[in-house]
Amino acid sequence: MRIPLSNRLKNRQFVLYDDRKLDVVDQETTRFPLPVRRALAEKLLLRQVPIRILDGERIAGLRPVMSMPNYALEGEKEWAWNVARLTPDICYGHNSPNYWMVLEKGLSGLVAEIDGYQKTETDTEKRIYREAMKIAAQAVIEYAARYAEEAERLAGEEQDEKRRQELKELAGICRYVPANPPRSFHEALQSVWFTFSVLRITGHTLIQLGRFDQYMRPFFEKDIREGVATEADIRLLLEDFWIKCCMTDYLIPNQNAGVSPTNADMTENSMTVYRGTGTGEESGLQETGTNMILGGVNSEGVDATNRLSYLCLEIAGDLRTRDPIVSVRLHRNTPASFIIKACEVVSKGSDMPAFYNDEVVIPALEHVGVSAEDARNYCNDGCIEVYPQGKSQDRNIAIWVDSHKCLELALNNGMSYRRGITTQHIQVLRDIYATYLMDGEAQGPATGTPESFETFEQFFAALKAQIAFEAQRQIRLSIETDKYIDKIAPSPLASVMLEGCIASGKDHCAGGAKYNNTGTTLRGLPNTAEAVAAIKKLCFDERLISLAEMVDILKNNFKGRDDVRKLIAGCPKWGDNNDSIDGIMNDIAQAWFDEIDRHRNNRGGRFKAGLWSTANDHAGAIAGASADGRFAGEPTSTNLTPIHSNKGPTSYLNAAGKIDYSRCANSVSVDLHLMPDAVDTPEKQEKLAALIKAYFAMGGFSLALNVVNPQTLKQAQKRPDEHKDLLIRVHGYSAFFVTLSQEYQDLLIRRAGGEPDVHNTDNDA
Amino acid sequence: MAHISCMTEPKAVIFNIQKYSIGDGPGIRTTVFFKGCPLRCLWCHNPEGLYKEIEVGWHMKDCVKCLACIQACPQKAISLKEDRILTDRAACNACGKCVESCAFGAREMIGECMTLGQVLDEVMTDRLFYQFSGGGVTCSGGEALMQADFVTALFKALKERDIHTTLDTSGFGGWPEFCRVLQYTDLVLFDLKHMDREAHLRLTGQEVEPIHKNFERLARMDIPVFVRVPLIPGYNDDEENIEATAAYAAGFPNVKKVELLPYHSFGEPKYAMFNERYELSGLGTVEEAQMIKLKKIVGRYTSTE
Repeated sequence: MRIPLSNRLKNRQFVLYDDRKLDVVDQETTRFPLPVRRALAEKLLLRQVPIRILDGERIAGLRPVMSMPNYALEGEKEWAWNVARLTPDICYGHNSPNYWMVLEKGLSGLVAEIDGYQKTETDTEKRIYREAMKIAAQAVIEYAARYAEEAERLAGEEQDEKRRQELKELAGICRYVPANPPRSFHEALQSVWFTFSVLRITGHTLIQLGRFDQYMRPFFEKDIREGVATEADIRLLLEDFWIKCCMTDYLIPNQNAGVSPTNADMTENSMTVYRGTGTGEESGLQETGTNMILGGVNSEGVDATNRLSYLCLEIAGDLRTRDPIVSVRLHRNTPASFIIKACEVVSKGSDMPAFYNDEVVIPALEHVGVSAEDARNYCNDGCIEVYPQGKSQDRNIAIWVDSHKCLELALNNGMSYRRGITTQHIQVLRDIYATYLMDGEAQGPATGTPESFETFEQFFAALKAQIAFEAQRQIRLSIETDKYIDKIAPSPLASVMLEGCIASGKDHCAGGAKYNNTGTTLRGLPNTAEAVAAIKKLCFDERLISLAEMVDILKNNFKGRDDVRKLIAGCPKWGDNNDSIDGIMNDIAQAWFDEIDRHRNNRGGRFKAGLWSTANDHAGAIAGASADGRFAGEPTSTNLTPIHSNKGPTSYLNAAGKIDYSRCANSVSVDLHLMPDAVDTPEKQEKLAALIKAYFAMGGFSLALNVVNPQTLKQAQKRPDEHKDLLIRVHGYSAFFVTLSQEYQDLLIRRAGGEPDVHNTDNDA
Repeated sequence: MAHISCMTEPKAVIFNIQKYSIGDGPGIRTTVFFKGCPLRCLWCHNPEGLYKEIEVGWHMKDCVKCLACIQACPQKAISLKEDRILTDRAACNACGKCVESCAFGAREMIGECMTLGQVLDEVMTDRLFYQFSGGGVTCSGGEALMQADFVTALFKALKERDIHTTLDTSGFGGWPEFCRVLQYTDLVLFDLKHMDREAHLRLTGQEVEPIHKNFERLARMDIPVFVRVPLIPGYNDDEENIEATAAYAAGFPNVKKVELLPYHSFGEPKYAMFNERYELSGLGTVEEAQMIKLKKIVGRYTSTE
């Protein structure tokens, strides 16, 4: 009997497994080259990983992250650590295998392809690496066979006839794929799941599904056409698939799990695999960042939005699971109904989908050397970076330059402020960014003391020089790492499923893929732009404060200088659609693109410039006070989100639309927060669709929409300064959430479906 | 009280220009809120729009009672009474000294005298959004008709730029002024607050006849109208009044729909800004069931959506 979806979404399962760290290094294997040992480790891991088919499941496969068996010799480990602080555990992740290739050829087909290359290959290293890939591919086939056996075993025990048939069918499917090209939608789905989950099991983080509605489309259409399945059948399978994606398999040592296992024995070495579902807010479980992107053009540039795209969007809206995270691609010929459907899903409040603009993203990827055809097949990463799916190893988050820190250096002749960074911040810094120097030490070039800048332009040039210097420093480091990573942590498994590695006979980290770019991003841009705008106005245009005095004030963390913070509050703000600050923003962005464009990595690729941020608390922790009014150590803005502006979405998008993103190949994140009542009717959803279309017509790159949930409103109650933009709209009336009294805020929290916190009245202010 | 000279070039006192307005006419709109209103509706949710003059509002939440504002005021218009800072409306000339003096952002200028050029620049920044959504500009208030010359000039300029114009009005005002605005108006959002003469006077402080007269004159001009009825529980949400409103409105072919806008209390906190009492404090919103019933009644006469 089919288990109701709602029950399955609440499913909690504990699977015990052998967690010993195994070792493939023995007398015999010691003489094997490292890639072969690594492939054997991947194979051993796929033998070790526990298998389980849950009640009612028609797609098989867990995906716990396991610890890789040891495959490196002591000498190799020591060498890797000494040359570049590398260990066998590291991995680039942030990528997508080539599902098209696996579906079209099957892993057996890929093995045959390897054999073909080997016939004429004379290069020993390439021969060895291809053999390693072959071992890995066969290991996946073997892993699928374990599931075939399990399904057969369960079928033998099953009392329910219908379920027995399902299990038999599942056994047949797991025997057939991913070894062979699938014959049906169901087989294709299982093949994709195996391809995806084995990477996850072997430690690759943030592996993506990408253009699911494209590589699954032929199977969908064929099944419907031939009457093998109805759309309703496919929908049920897709729901199963969604549940697979949102079940977060992660390891909790039994003693910390807080619950007792319901089956099997516990041994000292075993841990539980906790299967939770990331549904809704109540689960509180960690999301896995599995992305899917729907719609957009095909490799010929023609609209490829299809019935499956709509179906996937509908399911995303109905199930509202945290994973897969759905985005949509828009272009000038996207059907209007698709955008409106996407906006309808947005209104349901699961922060999905995000929107990407083909008209801007594709040329940006072409700018970094991706062919038009491949660029059109882009997908997004576990954050928002874009890359040609299945054809690239883009090392998407290699370089993070903190623009606000560079501004500090530009104001202090290349040195950090001595004050303003607490010991705690230093610790954070040392833990996370061991590369940054600290507190009063020279970090950048000596670009001049504040007194030496006679014009704004001179000061601005110093900022650009600091950004360029930091970019160059990190680029050198990343190139250095790139030289060695495949020597200690190759992945024949990830490589065999990525286009280009079989042909090149090289690891995905060593330039084996068709494209091998390196991703970068510039953080803290809104803070930096506002600070520069304030300095321009107060220190150069109006000359109210000398630049040297401003630097002193910043070094003292605005102590006793509320007057200056007040002056700063009156300076141009990002998001207000003010040409002066928007120009500064664009100038910094273009300078960043100029610098990044100059460089080439050593894997045959280029560097991709991005404008987004993550870990804003850490970004803030490493820097002293800034002239946007930010205190020392305070977090920086998220992505390009306005910090102080409260002029609403059109104003923000008008501002963001002024930046030229044509070279921004590592993506940019513009996010909008909407109150639930801004999208609660079809008419308002249509208006939202028009808002997105207008922004994309201006040249916007992407847009993330967040319908504010009760939790956010509660946060806004506690930290109003961070949520100034939450606008309440009723016909002919508007107010900002944070300006309302607590009573009214509570009312809105209730209206958004939440329960307000019990407030301590003594602590009301 | 400050009287800003608006004689030389078109100027208006405006208390808000709200972008991405999605509840005041078709598409994505910018709503320009004009300060000043001849009505005194008990439920008014924009009390900052009642007086035409620029005012200074006070935010109790942010005020630490440092009394810097009292010292800064050249008019001696500000005083402390118990725990509240009071501003004498008659003495205040909106010079803004108290706002400058406040380090905590507890004092705010309400309203700004803007030129036609300024307003036009501001609303035109969203033209792309209007274009993609079929939206435009809405003039609201307060009562926009109190500054009819400016609205006429603004709408004229917008029509020259092919932007859709909507007037959101109580309908109370001189017909010649109203008529001038209507030359350049694509859509009117017309409030009908109560059909009964006596009740209308009691609830809004004004007679209903001039409003109905304007409504009927407007009908003859064939400009599309959306009638809007703010539903105030216990004041005008009785079935009798709603039926009378719907029947009256449906008698005119230019009325495209009658929208029922359920009461909300979000205007209340704004009253504290001026140390004024909100008459309807504690009033809840219209019950869902009552809303459905009333919509049904209206639906018998005309469209509600």
